[in-house]
Amino acid sequence: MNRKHYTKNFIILGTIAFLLIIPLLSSDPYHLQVLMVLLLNIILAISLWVIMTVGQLSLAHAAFMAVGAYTSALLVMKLGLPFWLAMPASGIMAAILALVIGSITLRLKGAYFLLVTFAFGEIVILIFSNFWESLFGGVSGLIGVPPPDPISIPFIPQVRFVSKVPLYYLALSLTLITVLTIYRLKNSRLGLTFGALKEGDLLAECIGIDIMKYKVMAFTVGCFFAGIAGSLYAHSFVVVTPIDFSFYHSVYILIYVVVGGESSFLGPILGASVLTLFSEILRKFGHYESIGYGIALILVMLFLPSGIISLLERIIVKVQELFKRIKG
Amino acid sequence: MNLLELKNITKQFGGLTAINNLSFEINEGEILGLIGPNGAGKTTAFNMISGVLTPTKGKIYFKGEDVTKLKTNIIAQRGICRTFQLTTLFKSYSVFDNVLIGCHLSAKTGFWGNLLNTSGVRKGEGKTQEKTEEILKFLGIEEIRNELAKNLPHGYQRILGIAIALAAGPELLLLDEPMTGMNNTETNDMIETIRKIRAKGTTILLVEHDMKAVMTLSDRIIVLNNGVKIVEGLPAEVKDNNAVIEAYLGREQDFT
Ligand SMILES: Nc1ncnc2c1ncn2[C@@H]1O[C@H](COP(=O)(O)OP(=O)(O)OP(=O)(O)O)[C@@H](O)[C@H]1O
Ligand SMILES: [Mg+2]
Repeated sequence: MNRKHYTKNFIILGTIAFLLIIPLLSSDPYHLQVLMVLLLNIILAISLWVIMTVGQLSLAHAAFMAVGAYTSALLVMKLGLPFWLAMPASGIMAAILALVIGSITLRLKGAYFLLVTFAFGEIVILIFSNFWESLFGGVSGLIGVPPPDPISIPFIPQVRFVSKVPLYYLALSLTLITVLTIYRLKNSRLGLTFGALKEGDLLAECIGIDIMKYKVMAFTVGCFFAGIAGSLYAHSFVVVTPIDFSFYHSVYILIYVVVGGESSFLGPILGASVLTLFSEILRKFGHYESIGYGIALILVMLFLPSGIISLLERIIVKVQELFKRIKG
Repeated sequence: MNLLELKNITKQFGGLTAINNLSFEINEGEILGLIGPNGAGKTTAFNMISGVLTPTKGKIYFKGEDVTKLKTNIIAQRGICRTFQLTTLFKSYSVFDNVLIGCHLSAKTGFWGNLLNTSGVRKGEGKTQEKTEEILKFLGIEEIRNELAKNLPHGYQRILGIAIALAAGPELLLLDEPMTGMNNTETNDMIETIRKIRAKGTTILLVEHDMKAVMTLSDRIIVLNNGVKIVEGLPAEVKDNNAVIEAYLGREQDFT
């Protein structure tokens, strides 16, 4: 038990250390670009996972990301707010919207809620592409979103977000904050309560749990981080178009969680990482990308029904056995 | 003093009248047996008392307060908890965590406190863990604390169902066929357990098909048939009542 934890912590710390030094290993902007997408996908997957812990599926996650992206970009471009205020504001905007939508629709279960989130996502994209064009920029979206403002941190030179490297570190910091926050939540009583709702609504209600309150809470927290991801996306990649946040994107986020392993905290993180890299590799093969992706998904679901994380756990156990044998 | 009062309760499902003009009271500290053949409406009565269903007509009072239309979780807050005829648990959690979840009402559940893991929250969680330990010990299931609920044998699952309800700290506990599927020893243990729960001051409404258990445990018994109360009285009176025998006739009940 303890040994397993050591190995796990070792892997986690090793991964973080590796992510920290990557810009020293490769100065290829393409590599950093892929890694930033990977980090964004981790934020999106782990925040969708929060919603899934209460037993709900959402196909609006990319739409909430869009709300964050547009909020942040417009606050900076139209009102001249600094990025460092616009970013939290974009998370709060997505959270408020989630609070309102969730309070109305989270009564619905299973496919019904899924379809409502699908419809909501489509409406959001429709509004961004067809309404208030002078504000949202229509189908071509917002162009020239400025990078984050320079910041001064004691003891190091002023950080200017002119190259990919500082943007990468920003993405990494936000990812770590998101992951740690959600990890705390998961290990608190709230995490236990969230899980209880998924296991049995009725029993939870009968012991005094206000199930709507906690479902709305989980949904709001999840969407808050989707909004933050949107802000990070907008200011890292300069251009924001409605199509970036279509329901396909939401489906991909869902796939990261499911393929990674829904039942474990590390599952969505692993799923987002592996699949982002995988689709980057497949990209070279043009049309075959989606075919290869589809086949890989089917294989994982058939042979690893609890996600890729279960494979990792098995490998850890094998490695430990090996070590034991070498020692003994 | 009566703790719970049902006044002229009727429940219809479409054209079917599951409960018809039912009135009864539960006194503080007693064990009231509610019996009747399959489909008599016992579980439906439970569902209305616990707020899972709303009566078509009539009122329910708990400690004098009209609770007819309150939501299930509010009713639990007021002090009424129930178990289920079909075992209902948080299946993929351990026994300990099941009871810990059951302590929700006495736990610190604020968002920011939990996120920041404040000392208040840590203290509160320490208390709910102690309470969980106490309940596990009280029901004699502390040695299976780490088992997952779904892996437990049926008898233990029934006990865990009661443990979860007790964790919510009810004044009135509704037990829907707690002895279902149990052998003789388990049934006798369950009888002792129910006695112990009552001895701690919890009032109990007991639905059970095992007549021997109902007769030994109950202070009073109410008999339902087709949604109508046909008899109310002491166990000895109910046992020899002709209407009751008739209601059960042909149903191969062990009526001793
Ligand atoms: N949700 C529902 N919708 C429609 N009919 C229902 C519903 N719940 C119960 N009934 C009907 O109401 C009647 C009473 O059912 P109930 O479950 O209360 O009986 P019971 O006394 O608990 O029986 P048992 O001893 O078999 O558990 C039955 O005819 C049942 O089919
Ligand atoms: Mg029943």
